[in-house]
Amino acid sequence: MYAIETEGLTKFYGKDRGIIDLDLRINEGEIFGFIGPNGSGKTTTIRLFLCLLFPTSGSGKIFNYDIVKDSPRIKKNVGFIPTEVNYYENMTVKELIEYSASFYNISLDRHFDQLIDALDLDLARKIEDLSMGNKKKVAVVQSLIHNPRLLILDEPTSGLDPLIQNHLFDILNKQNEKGTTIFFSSHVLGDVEKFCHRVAFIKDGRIVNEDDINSLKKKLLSRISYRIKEGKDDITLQTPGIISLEKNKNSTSFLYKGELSILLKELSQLSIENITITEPDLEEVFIHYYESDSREEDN
Amino acid sequence: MNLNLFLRELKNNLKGTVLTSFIVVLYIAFSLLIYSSMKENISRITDFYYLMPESFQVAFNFHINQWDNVLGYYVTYFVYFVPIITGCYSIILGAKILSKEEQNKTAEFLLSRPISRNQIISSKLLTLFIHILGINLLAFLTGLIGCGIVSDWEFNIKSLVILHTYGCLICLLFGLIGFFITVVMKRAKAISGIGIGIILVTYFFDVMIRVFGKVQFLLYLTPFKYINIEAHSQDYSFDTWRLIYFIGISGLLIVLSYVFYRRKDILV
Repeated sequence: MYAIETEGLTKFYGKDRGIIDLDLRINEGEIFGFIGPNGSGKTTTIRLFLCLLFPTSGSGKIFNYDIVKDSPRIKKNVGFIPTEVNYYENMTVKELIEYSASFYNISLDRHFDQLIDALDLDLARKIEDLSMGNKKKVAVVQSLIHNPRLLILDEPTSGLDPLIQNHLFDILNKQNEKGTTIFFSSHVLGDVEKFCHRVAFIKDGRIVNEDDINSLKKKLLSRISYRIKEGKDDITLQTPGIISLEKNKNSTSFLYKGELSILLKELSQLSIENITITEPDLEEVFIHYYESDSREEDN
Repeated sequence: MNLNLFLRELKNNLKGTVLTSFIVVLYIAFSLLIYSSMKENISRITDFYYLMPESFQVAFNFHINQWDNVLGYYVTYFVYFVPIITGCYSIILGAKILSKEEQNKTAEFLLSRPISRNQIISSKLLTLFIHILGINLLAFLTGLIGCGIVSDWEFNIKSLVILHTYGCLICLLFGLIGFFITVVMKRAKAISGIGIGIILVTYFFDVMIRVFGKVQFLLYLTPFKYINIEAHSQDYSFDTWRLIYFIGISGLLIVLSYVFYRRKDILV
């Protein structure tokens, strides 16, 4: 049995595309990354899973239950963290979590206290007084209080500072160790890379590829930007794997696919004033990812 | 029905209901307080009343010749204002009770809990009914005590019950109209303006029917016409066709609300 299984799942908003022919199979216990740029159909997919939207065609199952017909039964076993947290503003954090817990007929136990401690949440504060990051923390707690079998996360790290992001990943990893399947939607490749077992790429409403994380890592690019000290010469880099090289006076920027240590060794010969190694934007990743994929297929 | 959602909704909308009840109770109490002095000066009021154009008399429905009976007097005030005030609140509450979840984007939270759409509709509708019944019950009790005091309990209580039942039915109908409109709206939003507009337009239709008999077709468009206001008459009772109208349309709106909401895309 799959945790999530879809067949030709399609959603159109009138004439506007949501998602088209989505075929997914996610195993129980897996951490599945769902990555795509904004507007690619990630949130539509999640809203179909949660039955906020109805499919135009195709079908979906969660734990073998139909996402439309058996929605309430499915949701007993699902925790959800939305991109943008919109809760009842006049409630306190505690009231909101208790209200959420009441739908599962559970009382708040030690597991809840641990979550509150880990995320450093003030239960007495009103939702309307919380920052975006703190609202996200509330979302994390309410998604986990009933120990769900499946966690659906829609851009869970947005609005969280790096320290809390790490806490979140720790919490999620522990939850996964208990057997919880995690559906992790994001447009941040780095998050998916360090957290997921398998990844699907969605673009313009269609799944364009699925990969396990190890083969993804081999194809991933880094954006390297450096500036040479005033009066010093730059050189033409010989390390293979350099793409889209741009030079401007003392500054150089390019995409790199390969072992970073090899490149850094070559760069160490230069008088570099500063250097940054970042994740390229998703559009760039898509372009080069598919270029390399199609080249591999041609060979 | 989901008890948690129901209890939360019940508490959430209490302020508006208490305020509306307060206005209605005050209005009825004040109207009945001045009954004695009105009755004492009935001949002068009648003279003044008949100075007004006939169409005006008909439009405003002052059954001044019935004012010797407290119910005849009460009907004049009841028919005009109480169903309009409570109707306005009911249609706004009906429109708000579901749409606020979509407007405030909390629908995403609610619908990601283990709760069916039917349970959401049932919980919200039950809340709506209880609030409307609460206001109407308070209005009835005020009317009952007020009429009793000013007439030394010499009036037909059953007639008052029937009159207020019509008042309650029209409120329920307006509440359901508001509710249904937001169910069928693609992106639900509060429709206070539209709601009040519906009440005023349907009330205006009722006036038109009374003033211009030729526009009887408007009968189908105004629930006000279906309130039997002959409360002072001896054989005042429930008319089956009036009950069928209210219960039939209300029932239809309830069924359609379930049907449409079950397949509605929630676009938050």
